[in-house]
Amino acid sequence: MDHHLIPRGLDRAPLSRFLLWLLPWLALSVWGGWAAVALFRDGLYHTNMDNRFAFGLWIIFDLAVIALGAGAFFLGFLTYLMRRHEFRQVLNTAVIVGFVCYSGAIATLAIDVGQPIRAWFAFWHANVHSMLTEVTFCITCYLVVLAIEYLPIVLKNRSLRPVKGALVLEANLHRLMIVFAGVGAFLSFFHQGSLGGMFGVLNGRPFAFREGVGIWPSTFFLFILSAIAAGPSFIMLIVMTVSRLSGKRLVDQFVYARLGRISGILMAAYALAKLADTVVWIFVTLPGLGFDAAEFYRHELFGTWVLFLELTVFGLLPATILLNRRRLEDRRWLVAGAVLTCLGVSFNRFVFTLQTLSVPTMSFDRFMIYWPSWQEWAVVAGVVAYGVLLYSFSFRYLNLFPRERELQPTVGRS
Amino acid sequence: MHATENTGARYAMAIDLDKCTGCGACMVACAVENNVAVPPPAAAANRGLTWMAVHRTDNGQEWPAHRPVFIPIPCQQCEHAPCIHVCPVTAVQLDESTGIVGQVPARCMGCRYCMAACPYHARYFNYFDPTWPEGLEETLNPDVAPRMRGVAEKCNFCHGRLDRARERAAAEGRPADEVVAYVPACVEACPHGAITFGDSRDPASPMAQLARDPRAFRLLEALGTGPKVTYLSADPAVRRVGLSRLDMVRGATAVTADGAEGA
Amino acid sequence: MTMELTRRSLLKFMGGAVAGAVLSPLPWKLLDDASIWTQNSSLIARAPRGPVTWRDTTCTLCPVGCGLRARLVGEAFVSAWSRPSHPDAGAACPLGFALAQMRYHPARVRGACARDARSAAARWRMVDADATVAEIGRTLADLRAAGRLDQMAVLDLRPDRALSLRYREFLQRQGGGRYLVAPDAWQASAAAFTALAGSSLLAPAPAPSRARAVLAFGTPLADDPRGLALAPRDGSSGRPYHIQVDATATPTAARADRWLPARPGSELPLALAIAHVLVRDELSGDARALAAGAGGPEGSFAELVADFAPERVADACGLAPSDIRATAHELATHRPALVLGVGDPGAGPLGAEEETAIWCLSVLLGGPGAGAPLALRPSATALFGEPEAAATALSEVPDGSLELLLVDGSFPGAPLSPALLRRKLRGPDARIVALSPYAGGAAGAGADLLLPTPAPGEWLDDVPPPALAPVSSYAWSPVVAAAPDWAVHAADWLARLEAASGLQPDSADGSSAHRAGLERRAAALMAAGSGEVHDPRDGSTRPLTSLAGPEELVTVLDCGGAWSAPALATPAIALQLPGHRSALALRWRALAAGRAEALAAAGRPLVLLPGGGLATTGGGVAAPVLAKLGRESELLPDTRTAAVSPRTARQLGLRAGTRAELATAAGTRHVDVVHDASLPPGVVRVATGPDPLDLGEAPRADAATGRDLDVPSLCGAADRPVWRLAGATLKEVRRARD
Repeated sequence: MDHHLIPRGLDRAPLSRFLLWLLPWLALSVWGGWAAVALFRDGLYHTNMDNRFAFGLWIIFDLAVIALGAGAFFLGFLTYLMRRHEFRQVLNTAVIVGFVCYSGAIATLAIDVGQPIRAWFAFWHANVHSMLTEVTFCITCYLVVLAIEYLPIVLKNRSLRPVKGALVLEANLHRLMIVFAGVGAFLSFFHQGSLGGMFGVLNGRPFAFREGVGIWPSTFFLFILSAIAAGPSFIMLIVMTVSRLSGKRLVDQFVYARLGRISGILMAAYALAKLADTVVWIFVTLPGLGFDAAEFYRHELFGTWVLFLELTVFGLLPATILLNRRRLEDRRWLVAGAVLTCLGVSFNRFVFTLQTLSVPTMSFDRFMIYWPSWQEWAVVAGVVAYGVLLYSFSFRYLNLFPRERELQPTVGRS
Repeated sequence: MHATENTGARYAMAIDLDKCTGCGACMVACAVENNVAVPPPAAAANRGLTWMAVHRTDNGQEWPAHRPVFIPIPCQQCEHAPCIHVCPVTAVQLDESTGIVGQVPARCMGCRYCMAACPYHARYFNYFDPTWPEGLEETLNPDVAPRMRGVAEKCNFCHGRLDRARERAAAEGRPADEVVAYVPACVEACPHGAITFGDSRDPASPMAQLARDPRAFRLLEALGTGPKVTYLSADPAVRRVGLSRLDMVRGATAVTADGAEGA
Repeated sequence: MTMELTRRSLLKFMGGAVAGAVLSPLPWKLLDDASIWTQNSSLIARAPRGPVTWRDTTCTLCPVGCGLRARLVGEAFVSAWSRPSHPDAGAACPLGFALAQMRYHPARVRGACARDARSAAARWRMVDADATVAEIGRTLADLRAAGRLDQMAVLDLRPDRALSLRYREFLQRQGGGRYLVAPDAWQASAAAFTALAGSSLLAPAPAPSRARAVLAFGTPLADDPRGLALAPRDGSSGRPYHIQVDATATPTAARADRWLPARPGSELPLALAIAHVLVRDELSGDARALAAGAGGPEGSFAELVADFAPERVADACGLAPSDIRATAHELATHRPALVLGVGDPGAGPLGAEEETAIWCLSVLLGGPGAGAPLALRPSATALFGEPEAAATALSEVPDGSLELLLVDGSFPGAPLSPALLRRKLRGPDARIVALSPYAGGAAGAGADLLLPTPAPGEWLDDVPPPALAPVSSYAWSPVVAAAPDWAVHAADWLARLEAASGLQPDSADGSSAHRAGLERRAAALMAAGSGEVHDPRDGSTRPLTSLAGPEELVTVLDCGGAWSAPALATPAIALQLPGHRSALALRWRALAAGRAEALAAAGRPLVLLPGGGLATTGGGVAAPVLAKLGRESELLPDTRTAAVSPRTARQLGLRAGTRAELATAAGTRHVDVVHDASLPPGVVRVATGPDPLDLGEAPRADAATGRDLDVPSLCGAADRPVWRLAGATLKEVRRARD
């Protein structure tokens, strides 16, 4: 029934199966929407956040998806500016995933702020000293860039062919794409860094505070590194999953290995930088603030295993896997490395958000924990569902993978 | 540096922990003065708005060596406040003429970044629509604007009282830049006279002397936040409360004789 | 020339318009307006507006009567603050600072109410006030006709006021009935002294400032607003040497020069052992003479305390004999010394036996006398030259003996158990009538009928000197806010009840008669002519004799002024210490092992220690902001948690947060377990006082089944005047039951 919308030459599942696939995701997004309405109407008391846990699941989720969505700008940067054309094969997916991650994060943030009606004050009454201002500006601008990058993919849809302007616009945008890729890379480098800076500048929170490198705290660079390490891995995992679900080869095999190798190199750099940063933090920063690192890791939930996990299992281990050429050829090792990389960056964002607030600052403080309310989970589930839905539609009706047609076995029909 | 840097007052507070009995008069007076709403009964304790919060701690020992210590914590009005530079909407500002860290609830968009930044947990968020039992709006203080839900708030050394003092000074024809004398509600309410308040830049003010008192300490001074609330105690064990927990442990190994908390 | 409108030109025009508009002030103005709009919400509460005025008054939320300054905005009573120029030097406590909120308490009623109080689930319903008054009047008339007036009683929780006189007059007019009081810890301590002194015209006026040493049995001296408070340890050189007896390290104990962590309930053996050492070692100059006593049929004090050697009672007290001996010697070397009882007022009175023994120590160590730390002052009766009151303590009224009980609700926070009250009733038709503004608190919680009276701050009451105050004092509580029309003065209710019972009231206008009663008291003070007056109009304090006459005193009192007079210059009595053959000696010997031992029944290994809430209140009505304080801080423990020491918790296998059932011989209560390192092992503490988790509508105790009892009832308050201890068990229950 929707054949006229499906790109020519591509084989897609029957509409009924597609709709069946959409059903659970629709349900999840309705659930999330329901929670969002309640939160807008009644206020944030539906969450389990409190005066101590000013940040909760949503901020962890935002930080994680923005880091994972870094593939969009970084692959654009590699393709257009570094001329690594093999990544063109996954670039459309990277753009859509990036768009989903950023728009989802902004939607979550809009629910997270206590006065959503004043969210635009960040522009109108901007405080230029605040890392969060930098983040807000860059993320918003970059979302516009992502929308512009998304547009040509949409405009190529079969049903828009008759519209003369669409094609012209698409062609023009395509020529300008190198500019947008450049702008996007610039903006993204900044806000990925600023997100790290958000924690690194907290001089009242020794757990998060980091020494300055130039005008930025070290977390500025660590967040950039970890994000661009995780971005390609995440895109790779998405494409693999889509390929598996649709039962089609979508990209050349070597693209996966290339993505993995880039992740591996950056992960290695990140793990070493993180190690150096941790050493400086333990031996220079904390004593200067009157604290001891051991203090932060003596609580039931957050033991020294946190630090160990971050540095080894989520740092050096994926780096060693993904730097090994033989392992890159082995699908299982590749997936393991990519999963560990993505988990690692998410875990890092979790630790920075939650452990910072959990551990005591004053001597008589108590260690506290927090568990999100169902409304918080619902919003996150809703945003994830929105992402899946948007990608599903895009995959069905837009030509995301330039090599897909060639890579299919020839027994297929037209 | 600029010549203007040292003009204006630096209102500061000194709290004598040896005099505090934890009666809670300061907390009640603060809530009454500043129109702090009473949250619904089912609300979690950690969602309350307690601009002045009296924390109860102890020397870490069990009975009979146990000794309670009460620490009233208002906003520390840090000179280098961690909450100011993080606010994306410029809703937190240090008033150069008073040294008070002001919070503009009408500007706040409720991102709560300032709360994550504050090591003293002295900032609070309106998780609920502020409501009062029926009729209780009649007891609201007209000098202090009630806040709305979804914004952060904190102690501002009773800004309503400062404004009233300034109005009185203006009515008496005193110059506009003169430092006015006033006391916040908690200072007035303390039945034990444990809280002193004044301009620490005025050499004649008791605050100037108290800051140099050998009993004086500040909370987490090593963080470099420059708190303007000074605490006083003759007991070295109580003075260790101002340090991070690590320093308490270190202090205990140094003075094992009094057997403070072990690691 | 033709103008053709193409799509291109239209787009161009619109683009130009947008670009132009951005350069104009319009969009920026709109954004700014939008910014201002988002800063206003109809949900934000509106504060009253109007000129700010101040009115001085006196707090009536507890018997201490601190000076308060009420802030009014227009006619709205907005807040109350302490008065540093007042004789109490600005001593008001959190209760006073929340006074303005008491007018709008959620438990306040807006008319006569009734309910079936026998059923724990019964709700209040509005009833017709006239019909209710007529019904109570009929009951009164019936009781009178049947000659059963002893089954009618009035319970006055703040005796010695002018209104108290009116209640007694009400009973007289009916021709009988009992005038009941329920002494709090301070009043019980004073009453024990009065009994020892044998004269109801004198009251104890202890003055720690005149002592060189103070031994306090739990007295909360760190917080006391009535003038007993000791300066912090390094605050002044004139501070007496302070020894505190307390089961836990209370703020007072933590500030004392020495803390004796005695076992809960061991006050009596400890006091007697100290007396033993004082007498045996002849540490007090005249102790021998005093202890020898008259040597009459009652025997001698020396022989009485001879049985209480420190070595014998040390175990019961949980102290080393050397500690007890050292305490006695320290007191003796720091004579004159003052020894105070009272204990934790939140835990109920200390018991007449303990209080008497403690007063005996004060007598041995240098009092009473002129300039001595234990001075005397006239009782309220003597002060105003009024007839002596024959008051009965509520605990002395047998269970099931009252048909009609009128409870005065002027002290909403009085420590009183509703379950205890209801046990005094006989038969299913017996009623408790509360004259109270609140459907909760001391008076309202156990009542069947409620006649609404004005809230604190809305009516003129008088404040006689509080128990154990070092000086005599008298003040009024001038009205700071108008009472709503449904709230009727208690004196007016009394007049209406008299009329309804078929009697001819003296005056239909009860409140005017009440006012006349206050003025008579002012005139009596003026006639006595001693003391001084604090006049808030100019902040001065001057001799009473400098006033023009009683009218001026009335004016000063109407402005929130206060009269005060130092303790009597000369002791009017010679105190007789009890001898070894006296009835008291028998009771002392019976309790020699301490109350904990006496109370602990088989199979109840823990000692339930009530208290720890707001010292001046029982299970009363607390202002919403106090409920907030209780919820959001650790200062005011709530009545639904039971604290045990970590060691005891380990032994019982109770983790923090466990739901548990606390059981005593009287009944049970569900509690959440918390660990508290300040408690000695084997003790479980539950707070009394206002429940911070509710605003006056807590589920009421079910006296019939003994389940979920309030803390005083749980301690067995119904059976005895002392409810500060009980043997208890604490067992985990499954959460599912809630």
